[in-house]
Amino acid sequence: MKTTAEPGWLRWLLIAAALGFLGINLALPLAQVFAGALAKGIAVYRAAVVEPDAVAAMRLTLTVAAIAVPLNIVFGLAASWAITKFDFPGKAMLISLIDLPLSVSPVVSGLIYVLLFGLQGWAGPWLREHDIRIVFAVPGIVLATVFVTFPFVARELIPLMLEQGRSDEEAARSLGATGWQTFRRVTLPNIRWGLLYGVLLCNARAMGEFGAVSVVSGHIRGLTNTLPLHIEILYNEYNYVAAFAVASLLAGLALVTLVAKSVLEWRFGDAIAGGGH
Amino acid sequence: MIVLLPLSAIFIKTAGLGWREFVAVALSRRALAAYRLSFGAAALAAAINAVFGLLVAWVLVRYDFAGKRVVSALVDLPFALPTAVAGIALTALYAPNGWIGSLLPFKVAFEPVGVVVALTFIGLPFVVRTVEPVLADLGADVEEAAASLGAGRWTTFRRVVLPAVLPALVTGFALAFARGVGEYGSVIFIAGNLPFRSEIAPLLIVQQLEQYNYRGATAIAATMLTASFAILVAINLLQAWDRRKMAAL
Amino acid sequence: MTVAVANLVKRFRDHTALDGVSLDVRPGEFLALLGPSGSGKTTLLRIIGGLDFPDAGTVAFAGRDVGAMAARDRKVGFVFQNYALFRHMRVADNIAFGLTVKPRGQRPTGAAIKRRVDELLALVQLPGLGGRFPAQLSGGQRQRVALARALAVDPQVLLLDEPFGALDAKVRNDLRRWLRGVHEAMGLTSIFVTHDQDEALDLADRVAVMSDGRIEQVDTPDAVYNRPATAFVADFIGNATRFDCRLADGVIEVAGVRLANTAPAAADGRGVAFIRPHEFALASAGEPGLAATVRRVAHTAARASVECVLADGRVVDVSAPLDVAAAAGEAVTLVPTTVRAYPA
Repeated sequence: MKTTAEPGWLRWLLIAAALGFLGINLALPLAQVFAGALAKGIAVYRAAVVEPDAVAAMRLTLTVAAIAVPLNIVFGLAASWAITKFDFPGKAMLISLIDLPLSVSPVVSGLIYVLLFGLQGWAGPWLREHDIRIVFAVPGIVLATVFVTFPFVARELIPLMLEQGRSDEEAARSLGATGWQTFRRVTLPNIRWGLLYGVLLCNARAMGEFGAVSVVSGHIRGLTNTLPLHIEILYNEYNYVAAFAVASLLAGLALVTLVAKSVLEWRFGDAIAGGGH
Repeated sequence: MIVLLPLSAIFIKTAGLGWREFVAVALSRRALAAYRLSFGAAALAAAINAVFGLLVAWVLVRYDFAGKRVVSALVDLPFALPTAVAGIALTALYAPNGWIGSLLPFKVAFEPVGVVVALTFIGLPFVVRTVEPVLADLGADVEEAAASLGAGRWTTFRRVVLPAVLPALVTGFALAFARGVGEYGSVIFIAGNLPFRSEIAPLLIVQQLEQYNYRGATAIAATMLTASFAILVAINLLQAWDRRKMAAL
Repeated sequence: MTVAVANLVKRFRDHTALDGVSLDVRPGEFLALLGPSGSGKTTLLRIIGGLDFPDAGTVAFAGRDVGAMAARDRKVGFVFQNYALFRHMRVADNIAFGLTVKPRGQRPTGAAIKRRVDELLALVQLPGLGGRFPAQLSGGQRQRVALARALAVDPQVLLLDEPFGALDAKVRNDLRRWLRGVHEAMGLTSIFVTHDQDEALDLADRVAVMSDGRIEQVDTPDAVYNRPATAFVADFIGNATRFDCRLADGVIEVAGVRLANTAPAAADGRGVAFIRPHEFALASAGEPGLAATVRRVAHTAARASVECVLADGRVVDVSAPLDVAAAAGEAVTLVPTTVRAYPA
């Protein structure tokens, strides 16, 4: 035995304590979702999932993610490119700002959009004149989701790009590559796995966001209800089986995300370093 | 642009409020009780996570056991699982007739302690994922050096390992805490939302909004933002101080 | 192609990296930029390559001002310190990169590119390794791939930043000679940055010694070594020991020993003198010269190295013939045979 190893019994005790904590705190809730969903058999489960309001919520959730995720890929790439490849005053400030949506309550994030675009908000009168609805409509949900999920791509890319430095790009430039050629052929391949990793997390949050979306959506069934909001409604109506059935879809998505994320970590650990969440 | 502009809206809107009105809404007894619950439960949950998060990170970094990869992936579940899903699952688990709730001699769901349970679920990965890389980077050599100087395992842990991971642990605690203060989705189901007892501050904002009281909602939001911001700044300062200490060595 | 920079100034925040640098590089020349870290040599190289831009001053290639030209248009080959090979591309794709990013009209055909890559792989003595990834190569091989990549676009100027810095001693020596050969065979004008004086003196036609953002001396290796123009150069090159001295009528007095100054004439008065290990003779204690005690004698390859401690506690290395009679603990006198002195 090495001098710096714990005795066997202590090692097993620590492992058991850690696993016990994780089991109660993480595994049990996950199991509860699926158990709750199948409590009344598979037929009830299927009925709850294909019910029209659930399908509409699913469609809306997918639409929102399909808009918010690509937008944040662009924003995230632009922000991390600017931060890592150029020097400018206030750079440190900008880096800490990027994380801000993570530490602001999602409810507050939603509130912001109500204040800006709500009927009594700053842009309210103008929007009403032009008959544009943002709050309590799909655009508001998209905006709030973009805000809340903005950090995920950028915060994966910035440490990665900082660590890789600028010399690859400089080499490409000295060999005659244009800015776009440099980005497409040198930068992007270097960060692709980190980018995918960020997109994965961004997508999971975009589909699952509750607080911010709840505030801006208005909860109109079949129209502005996303899957998480639909779960809340079902749950508050004491329709537990249906609530868990819909929840199991999102839990399934979470599991897929975790598996994909782990595969990325094992296979391309070095290429997504910088790490974090 | 995306981040700063909207945030400033909150404070500008709040500034439009008279002082008296601000106090009446944001510092009402009900609001104060909600802040106390939000910040208190978040601090407690973050503390629990600091202890168990360090344990989990240690076990994941230092030991090999069957299923380690699965366990490691599971740690990120709270990042990936929508909060509403977590909320209803935790509520069902801890309800008096739930798998866990039926075993406990006291009530968890619909009580303040339920809030702590939900925030512990949400905050765990923040601690594990900030401490893990630091622990992995902390080579075996410093521990071997401590051992060669005659330190036992516990002394080595306390005097060598713990101080080295402490900054990361504090960061993880701060992240979990900040997230916990603002958390909404996973809490509202399990909290029971009784005014003065198990009602969290974000819920108060939502309620004000549902009554179309935008000013009230904004006032509470501004108070929360200021408090969270102050705590984050304090922790940042603490870390900067710690870094200087290290650099001076 | 000539490379001429004039009056370059470059500031980073509160520190001046280049403080009025002028340098003319002749066509076909192999020039070393030598200096301690922070002396501005890499900044100068990057400005010549168009990777950084000066706050003031001009850069001209063959008499043409290229100051406003971006790196991609300057057509210089740049070899980076850690090679900056694209790790997601195979060796062949790395080498071909500069050809494949040319505008469509000037881009060679796929077959021509492949031919060129094979030529370059042969030139850098890595035939058949085109299919490997950079991570599968040794340090010396990566170095050569980086060079092949830079040469693929037929640059007339080759810039190398610490080209041998990351290699071990044996590989470094082989690569030096080989690089010199490539430089001559291709008729390049090459500039390389190094902090290793042996490397600069061994390889370059001329050496520019830099310190604190200025060029102290540009000369042949022989002149830089034997006739340092400034106190900095005399101190930096050749492991010299520094003494305070008096100058009078071109005669230096160090510790009571009077010698002719071999450095450029300096005004009378207080000065600093530099003496290298082989510029001392060992004499018995009591002779005129510097009193010292032998601490250790090491017999290396061709000479003995005698470590002496002066009365003031300073340690001086003296190079002596292998059969030197000194023994540890013995009191001796160090008699300077050659001295270079500069005004203090």
